[in-house]
Amino acid sequence: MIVADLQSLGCMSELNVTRTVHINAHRSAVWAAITEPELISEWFGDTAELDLRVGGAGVMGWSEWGNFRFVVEEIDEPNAFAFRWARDTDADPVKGNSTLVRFVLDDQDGGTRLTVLETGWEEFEGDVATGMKENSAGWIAELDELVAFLDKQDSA
Amino acid sequence: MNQSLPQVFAALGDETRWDILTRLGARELSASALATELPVSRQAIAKHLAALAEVGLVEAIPSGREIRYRAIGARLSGLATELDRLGTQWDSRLARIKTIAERF
Repeated sequence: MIVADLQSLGCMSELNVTRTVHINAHRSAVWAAITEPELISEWFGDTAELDLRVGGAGVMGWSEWGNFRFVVEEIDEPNAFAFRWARDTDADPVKGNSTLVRFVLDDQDGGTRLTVLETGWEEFEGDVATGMKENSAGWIAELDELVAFLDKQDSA
Repeated sequence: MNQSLPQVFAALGDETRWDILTRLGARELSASALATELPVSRQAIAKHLAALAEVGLVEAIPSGREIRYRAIGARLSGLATELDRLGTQWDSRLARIKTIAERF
């Protein structure tokens, strides 16, 4: 049982989360959806601010959980967009408190294949004494529930 | 989970610790026994065990004069669930991005 769990997790030192979706829209439309603040706030957070240049800062706000800062790491319009996202409220994202989210856009069947890859969990500081808040898992779970709820509302 | 997910990931983000956990998942072992199976000193093993214990992935079991360690299965199941959640979150976000892009 334990061995099966370990195998299902794979090796943590290479941990990442990747997901793909096909979108019936031109890459330019998908690019806009993932990079324009007023559109970002429709799928990520309640509010979003973004200085769209490499090194540019951004903030995603959740009324319930606070503001999370991110910084743009890559802009290759309309092929790839990446940002580093702090998992602590009101903290500048650096290695050790953040994950890297990278979107890749490809043409596919007249539309766009959008792939997201989230990495960097293994870079988190392991020491509790570094002051990392312990609520990350909690708000991840709550956020997931919220998204599921909203999706249900959408499809109702 | 009584520790944050990132801290657990950080504890696992090391190949030696991963090796130790895999072995403890198969059977309870002492630090000395682990040191004979892995190319790492007993002191280093002890440090890794402490890191794994701190995030609740292993626990110490006194056994006669030695201390054995075992992996905590529920903890790992919980971790697998959390990983699933992360993926599910992105599925939801991507579905919303799709809706936004397709209305252009």
